Amino acid sequence: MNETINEKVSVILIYNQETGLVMPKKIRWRNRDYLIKSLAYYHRIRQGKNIIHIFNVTDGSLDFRLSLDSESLHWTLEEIYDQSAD
Amino acid sequence: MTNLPINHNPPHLMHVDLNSCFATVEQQAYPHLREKPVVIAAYKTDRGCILSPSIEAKKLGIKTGMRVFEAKQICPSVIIRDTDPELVRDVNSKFMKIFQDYSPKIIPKSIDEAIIDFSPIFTKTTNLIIIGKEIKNRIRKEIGEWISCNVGIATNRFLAKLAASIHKPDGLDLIDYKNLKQVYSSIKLTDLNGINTRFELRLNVNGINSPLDFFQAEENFLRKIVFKSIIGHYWYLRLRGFEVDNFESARKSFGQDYALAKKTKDLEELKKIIMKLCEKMGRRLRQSNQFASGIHLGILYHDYSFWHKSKKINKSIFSTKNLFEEIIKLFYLQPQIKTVSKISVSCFSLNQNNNLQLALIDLGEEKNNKISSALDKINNRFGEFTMVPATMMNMKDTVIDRIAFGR
Repeated sequence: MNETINEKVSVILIYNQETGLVMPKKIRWRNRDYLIKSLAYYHRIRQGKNIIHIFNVTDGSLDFRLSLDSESLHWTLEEIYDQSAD
Repeated sequence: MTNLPINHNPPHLMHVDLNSCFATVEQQAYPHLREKPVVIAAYKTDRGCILSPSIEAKKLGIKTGMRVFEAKQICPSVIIRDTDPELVRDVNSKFMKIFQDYSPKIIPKSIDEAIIDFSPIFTKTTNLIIIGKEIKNRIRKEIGEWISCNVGIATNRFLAKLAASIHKPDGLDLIDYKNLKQVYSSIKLTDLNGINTRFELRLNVNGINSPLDFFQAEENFLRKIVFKSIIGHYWYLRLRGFEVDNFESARKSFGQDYALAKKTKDLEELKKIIMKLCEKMGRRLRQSNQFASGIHLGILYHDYSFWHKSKKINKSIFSTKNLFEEIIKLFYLQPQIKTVSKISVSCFSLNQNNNLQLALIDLGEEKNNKISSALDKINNRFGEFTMVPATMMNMKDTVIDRIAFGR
């Protein structure tokens, strides 16, 4: 089941200069840490001149849709998908 | 016309079609949806129309065009998701970029399919099967491991699309003069692109019961008896692998429609929706740098009756305000006020702005046009619907972004 969250979250991001990979590695949401296992999809959305970076990631049991506002550099957890709730 | 042989030229067209695009892309972004029956629906409510079932949902018998409740009857655990137009557009732009690495001539057919025309770079050593396999691998590697596509290779667009539909999902097929008859003998008439059940009936009446019969029919018979027009000649060529579909049709209209989530006959509510539709239509009209001198309004009522009216106007309009004013005039011509379930607006008789005739009396049209252009610039910079006409206040999520079928 998916749930819309739209809350600010803390994020640790990694960048690999060899492969060019940019990926959130760990997020802290509601005082709980989630270790990200893989990046499922990355894309960008234009909001006028502003660019929002969307990272769809998973920790193995939950899927997260995270957004990074390139103007404010704030991270938002937009949505989670919880398989166990299906 | 004497009997024409099959086109013996080497195939140079590649049709690439993403499998269950909307659903597969969603499964790519949300790994826990993978290997599950997922459908992407216009609305998640029971009457919502299914736009794209996942490969797993298709295997259960869920089809595009079904209603959500029908899918739930087939599979109660089916997962229903909304469309994510930005995500699908991103996948589209990524696969178009991959295609551009292979040929300068790419013909987009819809959001999830395109044709790569290799004729500008085709040589004796070009092997489209190897290139097709490489494209499939690159899509998996560069876009997402869950995204698969069908590839069809042939001498014309019609056969390339047919080849791409032979082995679904994740197929790669080539049709040429060697296997054409074999392919025709293994499919039904309705498997041919452009032949629906009504066309099939017309062919059956004339003794054509299979694609092979269709292929073997003489040109005169197709043109004079079956189709009674030049269409018969086109089919004769198309079925033999000759290209007849490589024309570009110019855009003749811009239109928007909206199926109301909550049916209503409240005039103020309907005016708001019409204004938003006019704003979206006007944005596209202005982006094309054209003016319209014809407008159309169609209304589907809750009792499934339909009313529509179009009008040619004696001036060229451009601004949202003018489009809205003209549409509202049509709106008041309805013979009866009934609860509305769907509204569609469109504008036609398009002309370039340098063809404009100057008005004898200035009614402020130019000022309206400049205001619309200025608002467009603001919305381009700060995001869609940042500044809107007052009629559209408090309706940000009504008439949501959609991806159109076709080009």
